[in-house]
Amino acid sequence: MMHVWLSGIEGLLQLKELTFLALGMIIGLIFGAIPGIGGSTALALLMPLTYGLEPFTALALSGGVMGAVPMGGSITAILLNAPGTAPNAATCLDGYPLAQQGKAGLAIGAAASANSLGGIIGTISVLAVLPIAKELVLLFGPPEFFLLAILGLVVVATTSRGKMLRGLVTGGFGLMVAFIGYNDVVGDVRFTYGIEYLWDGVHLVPALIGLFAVAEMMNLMVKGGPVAKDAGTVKVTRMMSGVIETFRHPGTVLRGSIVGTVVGAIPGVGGVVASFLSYSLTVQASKDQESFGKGNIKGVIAPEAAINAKDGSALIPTLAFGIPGSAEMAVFLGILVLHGLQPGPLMLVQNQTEIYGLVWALTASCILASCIGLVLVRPLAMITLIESEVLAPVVICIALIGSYAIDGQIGNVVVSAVFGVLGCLMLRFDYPRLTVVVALVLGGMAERNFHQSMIMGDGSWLIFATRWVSGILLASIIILLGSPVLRALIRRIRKQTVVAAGAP
Amino acid sequence: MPNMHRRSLLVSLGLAGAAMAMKRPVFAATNFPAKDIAFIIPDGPGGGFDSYVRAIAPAMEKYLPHKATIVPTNVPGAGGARAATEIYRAKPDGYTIGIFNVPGIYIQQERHHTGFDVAKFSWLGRVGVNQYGLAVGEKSPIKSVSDLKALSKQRPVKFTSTGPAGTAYNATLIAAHLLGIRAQLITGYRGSREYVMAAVRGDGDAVVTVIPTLRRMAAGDTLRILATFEQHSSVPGAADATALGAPELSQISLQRLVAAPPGLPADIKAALATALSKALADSAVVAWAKKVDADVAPETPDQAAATLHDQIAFYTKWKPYLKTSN
Amino acid sequence: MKRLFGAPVTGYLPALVLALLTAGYLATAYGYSPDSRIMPVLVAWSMLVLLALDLASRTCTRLGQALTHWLNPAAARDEDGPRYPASQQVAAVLWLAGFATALLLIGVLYAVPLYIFASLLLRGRRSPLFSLVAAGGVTLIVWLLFALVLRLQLYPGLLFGGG
Repeated sequence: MMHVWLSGIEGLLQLKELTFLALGMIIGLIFGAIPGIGGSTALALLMPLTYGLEPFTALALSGGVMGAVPMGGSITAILLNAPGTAPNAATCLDGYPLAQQGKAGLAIGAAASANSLGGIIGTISVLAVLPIAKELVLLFGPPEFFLLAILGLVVVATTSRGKMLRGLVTGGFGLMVAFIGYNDVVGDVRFTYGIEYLWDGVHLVPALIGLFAVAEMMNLMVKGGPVAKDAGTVKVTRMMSGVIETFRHPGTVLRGSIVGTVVGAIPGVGGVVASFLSYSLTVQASKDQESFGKGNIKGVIAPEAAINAKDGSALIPTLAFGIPGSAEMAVFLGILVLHGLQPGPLMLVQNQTEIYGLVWALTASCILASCIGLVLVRPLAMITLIESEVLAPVVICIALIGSYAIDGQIGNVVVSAVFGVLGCLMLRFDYPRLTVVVALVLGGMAERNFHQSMIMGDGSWLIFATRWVSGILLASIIILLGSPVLRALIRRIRKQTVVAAGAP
Repeated sequence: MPNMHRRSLLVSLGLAGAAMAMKRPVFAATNFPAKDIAFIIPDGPGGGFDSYVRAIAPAMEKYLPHKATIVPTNVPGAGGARAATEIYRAKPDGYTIGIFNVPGIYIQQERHHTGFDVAKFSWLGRVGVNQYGLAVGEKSPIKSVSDLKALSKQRPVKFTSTGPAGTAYNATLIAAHLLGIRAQLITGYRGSREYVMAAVRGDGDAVVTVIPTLRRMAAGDTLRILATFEQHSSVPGAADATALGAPELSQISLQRLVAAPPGLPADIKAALATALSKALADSAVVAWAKKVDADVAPETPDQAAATLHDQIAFYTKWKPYLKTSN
Repeated sequence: MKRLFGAPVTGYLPALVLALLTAGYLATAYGYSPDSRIMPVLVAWSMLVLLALDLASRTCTRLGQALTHWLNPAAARDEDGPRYPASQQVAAVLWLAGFATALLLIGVLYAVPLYIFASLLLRGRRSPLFSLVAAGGVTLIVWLLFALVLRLQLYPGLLFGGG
């Protein structure tokens, strides 16, 4: 096994491969930063370029892009509340408040190191798991996917205990929007009211751009002033302390990486769920829940670790069965096929060198991109000092065009604008946006897998309990739902024991 | 190869910039092509049709009467209807062409009454065709089609498939009917890889899909191919349509046809059709197809149009049976 | 500021509007086949219950306070945040709507410079020269990045042939 691992690195350490790796990394960094265009656009753009390259070089290029995109995305997420890619939306939640406090440098530093650490941990997990990848992927069927979706929704809903009721309301709203469009199970079209654009449903990324980027910029216009309230704090970038912060919270990093690795390996779920789940679990595990959403550095570390960990594990279903874990993976699949590498059970056996080379390329690119991010921290942090009257129109403009650029549909712009207004209203009336995003992503998955499970089980609900993986998931959901009650009970018992012990 | 490609990328960037800056009048066919040609793909990057177009486009450029770039353009959405509508409404000047899933696009048209009519496109040719087959997971106790038929007498056989507007769904229902199997479809999987993996996993009893996909999964020892719907089976050990006594099975197919907007002038049509067929015979394309087990089966424009009409007739005949599902 | 049950009327608006939308959604859902409408109907009814709780929690009655304490404690603490005049917020929405409409009607290459120029000049109160240069700069970046590098067809606008 070590032999194959090493041959992967060896293949990478050639000048040509390294050049393409670096090229991919720079492109990934830039594309990752711009909302709406991300890894999948970058890879699609580079596809014709790879036509004449050797397969291994093409893989180095792809790895370079995929490893760097998250870092680019987190920079704009922190500085402008504009997630460069969908998973970075979770970084906005605490990253942007930090920028507002003038601590953008700290946040970017932490994001950079969390990125690298998460990527490394993710890589190690993938390398360890790859030999049994096939069996692992086969463990998850419709009942498991349904329960996973419910678990995700429950985790996020119970996360902000302070705002649970309003969180549930926005979550419900997200679910309602998720049901718009063509329903693949029954074959009919719902809630489109005749609008052809809505046939494919409300697309996630335009909605995210609206909810986070547009809404925040509109809010900024009203509030006035630059993003950062205190210019003095910004000039002290605190970049290194940001980097060190990550190492001071190993639990958070580990938790984020593991969530990212596990969720990333499940096909079709994607990075958004990984990052939001990691964020929610970190909030739940914290003794200081109220501080999240206001600039808690752990709120940056957790999602960033998850995002990079998931990049490695998303390869598992992609390579083992040709089932892409995300849009980026789908394009990457195309590159593989173009080069005569047909993903499938055979690939795991026949093309091991290429696969390991790719994984190392991903890791290397992720670390390099973090370093570049760190180098650019000071000039980038200055963005938070630009007056809102100049910054807001420019960001709104680029965000809306980026939204259009996803697939050339002008309807995306309307979606972004509508969700921008919605986001503004949610900020004004204090409704959390976290649950909307997760509901949008998981709603369709929950419904589809529920129907499939019903057909599989001939209409009986027992199917969710009789398979051992779904049994575990079901138990987790029940524990999570009951945890506040459990915790109160445990506290009461402890108090009684103390009283009993204290009595003479 | 890389140098040539980088140069053509620069040339095309220059062309794109120049074309944007000044809208030159496009002269008549004698000058065709004078600018980039968009080759529209009804799916996102990375899908099956996408791979075909990206492999063929560079070769096709070589055989055009004048130097021009063919730009693979993804227009995903609405199950292919969005791309079809865009091509239908484009100017018939040869600068927009697209690849189609037949009968998939016809099924879309019938179910959702969309803004195009497949019969009116200017068909340029065919890239490939795939026939279907029937398989079960490796761990399944079912060893032959007769086993499936026996099972069907006890309870409906569960097939994994896409949604009702998908080609696989219709292929599965027709095949089940022809074979005398009572079928219940587990729908909603997104794409062939997903529903085939579902069969491997055991969500359903069996699966019907295109043969290259079956072959790939069988090579990894995850799937057992029970039958192919060809006249004579290309997979050793699997029954074929003749052996099963249902020759009509071989009419179930996935055709990848190329077309341009309605009303294309004859000379431009000839230029594009020739470039396409020569590209399919090009050594680079042939080598690629062999490596990834992609079927390359060219047809002339007239043959392609005839294929389309055959498929339309086939599905019109089966329409009454397709409305009934779960 | 009118008050109802002890709380400002504007506080009830979001939940009320959402409830109306949900009712319409529910009505539409009942028109679909049974299989198709299970989930939407379930979610919609749950939403109506949640919205009722939300409305109740905003009142200053005993019930409202109990609901807030158990289900949404953060709300009680954040009520005294900074309030911005509604007119400014409406203005922000109108500017956004204007830009989006411009994109739809006259397309990217005209709407972008127009929006940036107007925004900087009228809202930002910057000099005409600065606004012009900024508008040109942003348009150039958009064109370079999206049209040239990404080869994206920049939307020409409904008035000029987009469809």
